[in-house]
Amino acid sequence: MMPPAPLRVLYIEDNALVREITCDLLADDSREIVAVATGEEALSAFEASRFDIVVTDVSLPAMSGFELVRRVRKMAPTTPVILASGYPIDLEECRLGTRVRTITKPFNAPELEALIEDLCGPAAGAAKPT
Amino acid sequence: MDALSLGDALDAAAYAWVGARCRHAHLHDIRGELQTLQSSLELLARSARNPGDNIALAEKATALARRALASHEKSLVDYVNRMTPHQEAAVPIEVRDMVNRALGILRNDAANKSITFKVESGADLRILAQPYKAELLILGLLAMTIDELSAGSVVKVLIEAEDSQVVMEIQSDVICPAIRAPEDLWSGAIRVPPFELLLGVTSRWAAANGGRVETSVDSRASGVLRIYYPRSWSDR
Repeated sequence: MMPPAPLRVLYIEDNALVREITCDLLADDSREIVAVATGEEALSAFEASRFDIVVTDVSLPAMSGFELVRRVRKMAPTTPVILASGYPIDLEECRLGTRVRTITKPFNAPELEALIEDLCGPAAGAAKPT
Repeated sequence: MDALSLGDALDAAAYAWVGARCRHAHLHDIRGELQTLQSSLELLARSARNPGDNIALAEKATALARRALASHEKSLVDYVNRMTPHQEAAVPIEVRDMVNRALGILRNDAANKSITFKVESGADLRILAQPYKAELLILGLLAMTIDELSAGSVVKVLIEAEDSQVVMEIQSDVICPAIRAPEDLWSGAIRVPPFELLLGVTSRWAAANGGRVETSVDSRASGVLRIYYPRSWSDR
């Protein structure tokens, strides 16, 4: 029997340290992480390939995480999204639709993995290697 | 403690406004560094559970944590200095660097409204000023410009030399209010709009150092804010 395809996560974070270390924490056999630094790069990646979920920082240069989500939703309206920020976000005010969650920095990997599982199903939240 | 003048009180009010206005941006940057520390600890814990297989991972996590600590220390020192900018000494400041630092803090505010900043600058234009005080005032004026503009606007920031002065010009659709003297700004019965407070404090700061602030409307009905400040040729 073929193993299930890994969950494809598009991760956008302009802080290079945070981007690198979050990839190290999240990537495993059940998840494939594609990490980019800007909203423009994310849109290019999203147009070129299929992703199961978008995890994005809110504060990005040139195009904010909010604007990125709006553009992603125009291409794929049901794509689940997680917004990460250093301050609490009022989702009602942002009007980004359904299947959106927020997480406040500093978060730990299990918190982020739980949100991914909540949005994409338990298959995505496979146990990590220890 | 030294007596507090009306000007000092207005300066403090302006700094407080800028600090409150940019609270989210500062929090985001500080918590981004904490995020790296948090994640580094998680990686270290993971490698500790299987030390034989994960020495490289532990070394990488340690290196990342050290970089995050250094960055976090700088952020906290910056933050504390912004709270007490009147206590610092004047040093030569490269104006373009200062403007770019302020725009970096405001990047998300600008992105949220799709506001584009275009910075044009001559090379190596320096002023002798208290760095955090100067940066706070520029940060406040740029933040106010973002707040006043409609979505999709373009702001031009020109930094150039004119005689012995450095001129920083902000061009946008924002029509600046009149520049008011400190005694006109201060009244227990009047709520001062933040833009007027910032303009008044910036004007007083520039004047105290041999410069001035001018506001005008150009031929296209765009607002122009010009800050003149004596140029410094010192780099130390």
